[in-house]
Amino acid sequence: MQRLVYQDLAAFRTLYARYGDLVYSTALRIVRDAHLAQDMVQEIFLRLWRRPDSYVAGRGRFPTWLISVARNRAVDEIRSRNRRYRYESASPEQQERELPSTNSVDPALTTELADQRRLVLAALAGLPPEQRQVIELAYFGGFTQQEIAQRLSQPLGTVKTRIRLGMQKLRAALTPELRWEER
Amino acid sequence: MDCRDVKELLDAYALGAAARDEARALEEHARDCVRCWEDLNQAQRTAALLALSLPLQPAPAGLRERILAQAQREVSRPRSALRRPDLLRRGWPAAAAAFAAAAAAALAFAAFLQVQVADLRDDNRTLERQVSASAGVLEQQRQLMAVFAAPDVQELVLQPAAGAEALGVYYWSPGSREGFFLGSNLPALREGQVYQVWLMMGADALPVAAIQSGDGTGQAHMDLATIEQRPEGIGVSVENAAGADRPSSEPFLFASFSGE
Repeated sequence: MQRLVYQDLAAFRTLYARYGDLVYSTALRIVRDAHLAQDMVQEIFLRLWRRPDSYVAGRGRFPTWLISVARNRAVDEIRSRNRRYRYESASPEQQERELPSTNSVDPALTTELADQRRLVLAALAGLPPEQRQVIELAYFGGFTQQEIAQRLSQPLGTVKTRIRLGMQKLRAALTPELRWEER
Repeated sequence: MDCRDVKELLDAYALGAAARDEARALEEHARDCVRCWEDLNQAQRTAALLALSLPLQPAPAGLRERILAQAQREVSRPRSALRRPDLLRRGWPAAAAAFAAAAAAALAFAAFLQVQVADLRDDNRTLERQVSASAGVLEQQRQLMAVFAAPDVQELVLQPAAGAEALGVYYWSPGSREGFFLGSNLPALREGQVYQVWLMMGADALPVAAIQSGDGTGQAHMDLATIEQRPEGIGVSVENAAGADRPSSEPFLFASFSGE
């Protein structure tokens, strides 16, 4: 990252090679439009190229920061366009199948990220379906708690509780990853 | 909004699911509350990991070419002094020196402006200086408190070199990736010198803080977020204020992390 400050194109190329697919996947899953997702990837990476200091190190390591940027940008996009795509929640088993294979070496991901992915999928699989559903609607669907309550025809208090309990469980299951994030 | 309200809301906030007014109230509270700020950070890191659950879709090859070509076009335009090829060749220390020089020039100009304004508004100048000094002290106290308040704060007492009588303690939080050095009885500085705090990484030493002090005491906050490698030790030496790539003399205070 530091090399980007000095407009090191080779460093930028490496950064894209490492995380380009991850950012694209995140944007695509949320906006559900390949062209729009590509525009976002371009915007995100070029913004990073112009302003590498926009990376806020205190918010975790670079890859998770970058995908958060992609997620937030994509959610802003669908909110501003009022294009709400129903987030199709795939089961962890389905997602495992969609992945090149979490057991094989994925050239697009570092080993650390691939390990993290396995743990995140396992943590999500360990959640009760109703908790997982509200978390995914919020994070990937860009819905507020109020909107989720309306969507699911559930009381707002129930949605809040599900989010809180689900996130608590995720935090507990992902503690080693969060430590890694903080390292 | 109080700490209890924040606790109730922070997971929804981290997921981007809080209502706008609630989010704003939470942000206001967390800005001034170290503990809530920490909790919020952790919730946000948890939320960020969720994106890793998505199936990976390869981005089209043409996209990579477009982005790199645009980046290339931008780098070939005339840019600031920082990006001059000679600086790129000279690498980090020279670029850092250029940074320092540019910053010093900016500071000098700012100081010049300040004096001009102060000539016209003496009272305000005094007041501003007091406020600024207080703000600086407060900011350091806030940083120190943030490190102290971290649930994983660790302490390491630095040992003085033979003949030195300095005292130094290093506190750090792996969680918030911040550190704080406190020193007293430090050796006297000559004009143009600073106390330089180093993190030792094998054969290398990474300068992490410079302290100017006239009374033999010093404290410095350290942002460890960009440090990828685990340091083996911490040391403090007297260096020229212009900066040094590595300690020019034996650190007068040192401690090893190997005992952790």
